[in-house]
Amino acid sequence: MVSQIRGVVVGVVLALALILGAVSASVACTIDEGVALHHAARDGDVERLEHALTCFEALEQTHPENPRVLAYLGSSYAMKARASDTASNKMRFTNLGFDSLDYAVELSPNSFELRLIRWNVNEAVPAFFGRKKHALDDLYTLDQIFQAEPRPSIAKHMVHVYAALAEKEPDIAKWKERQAKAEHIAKDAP
Amino acid sequence: MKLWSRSRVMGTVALFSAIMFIASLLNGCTVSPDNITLPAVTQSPSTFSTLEDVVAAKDHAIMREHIAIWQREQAASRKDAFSEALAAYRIGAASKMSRWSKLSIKLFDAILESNPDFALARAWRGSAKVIYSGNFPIRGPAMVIPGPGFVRMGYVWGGFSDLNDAVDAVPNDPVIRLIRASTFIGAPAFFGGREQGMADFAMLDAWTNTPASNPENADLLASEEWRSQYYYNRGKAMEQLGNKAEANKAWQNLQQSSSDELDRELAKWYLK
Repeated sequence: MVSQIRGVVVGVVLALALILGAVSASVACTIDEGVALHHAARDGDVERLEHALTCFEALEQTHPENPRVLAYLGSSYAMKARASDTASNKMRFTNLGFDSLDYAVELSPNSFELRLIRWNVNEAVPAFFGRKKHALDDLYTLDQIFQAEPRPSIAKHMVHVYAALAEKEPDIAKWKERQAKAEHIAKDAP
Repeated sequence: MKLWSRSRVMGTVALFSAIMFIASLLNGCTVSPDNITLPAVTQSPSTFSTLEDVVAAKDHAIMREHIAIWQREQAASRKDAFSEALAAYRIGAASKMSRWSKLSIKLFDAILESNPDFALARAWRGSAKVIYSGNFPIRGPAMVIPGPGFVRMGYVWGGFSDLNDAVDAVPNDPVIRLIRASTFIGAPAFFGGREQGMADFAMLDAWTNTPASNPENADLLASEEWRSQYYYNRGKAMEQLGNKAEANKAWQNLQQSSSDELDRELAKWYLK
């Protein structure tokens, strides 16, 4: 009887170990590792794209409301759309990307990183997606964040943001002036 | 005798109520993926004996592709509403099953509610409305009843309005313009869209012949996927207009530009 109970206990422990192992194996990366994969894919290493997607899809299972995970997942989908060879897949992955990106921005509307990621994706898609308002919203929010705290680490990105604002919005002189200021601050970045 | 007796007034009110009731039934009937059936689809035969065989095979190929997309979206943990709506549209257009077109309108409605600026979704919804009108559930003599007749015409006008809004929002987008051109020419002539449809096709022809003339879409316009879709739709539109010379040019171009065997077969049969 005792040996039977011992057998059952050992069985349960082994089963639990297997389940835990499977769970930990399915989340085989951290957010930072995922971001590194994402950046490598963005810079042209196509093979890393699937790894980045797998990583962020797994991370989303365990961190469903983490804005960074959602934003990088959305951006990875957008890259997958760009790499797809059929129009239907391009549409599908772009839409999935925006679903994640919009939710990320909804959760954390004042994050510089998230707004910058979404703006980059908004800029890259055809006009028929109707993302112009989102893109402008992102640009103005990025400006507000930078004006509140003009950090050198984000100044280099703001140079591009102000260039876009000068191109799209009225009061070109104001945006050009801010662009020059951002360029100046960016020189101090490490 | 009184012109408007009590019974005559009551009769008029009853008739009006009945018409409005039917109209509301047509407008508001619920359609969901759970209460519609997929069309029966056959494999393409290896040999064709008539043009109708090839046309049916092409429709079935479109249905097979989009039923697969539909089923994938239903099973997916992460669903793309646009792919789902477009698959419903394609199934409805190829099968002529009105409930699929109605479902696609409902799905595009939801997409546009969350993003009213999504011009491509607006264009597809416009086309879905016109197709739904063409495959309207009430047909024949019943259409003289003002209720269903007005509802049906309302779908056409609503569809035209969506398509015009979409083109106005993104005037240089070839896909949106092709949707409008094909839909306008596919609608009955008395709705008056054919002239605009021909103007759209003239513009599309210029872009397709010289992709650099539309720089922001030059890559798309030079792609095989675009050229085969464009010439297929142009050929069908010109056949519908009875312009055989222009239709034949489109079929010749489809034969040359498409790597799809069925497209080339279709072009061959139209050219016979």
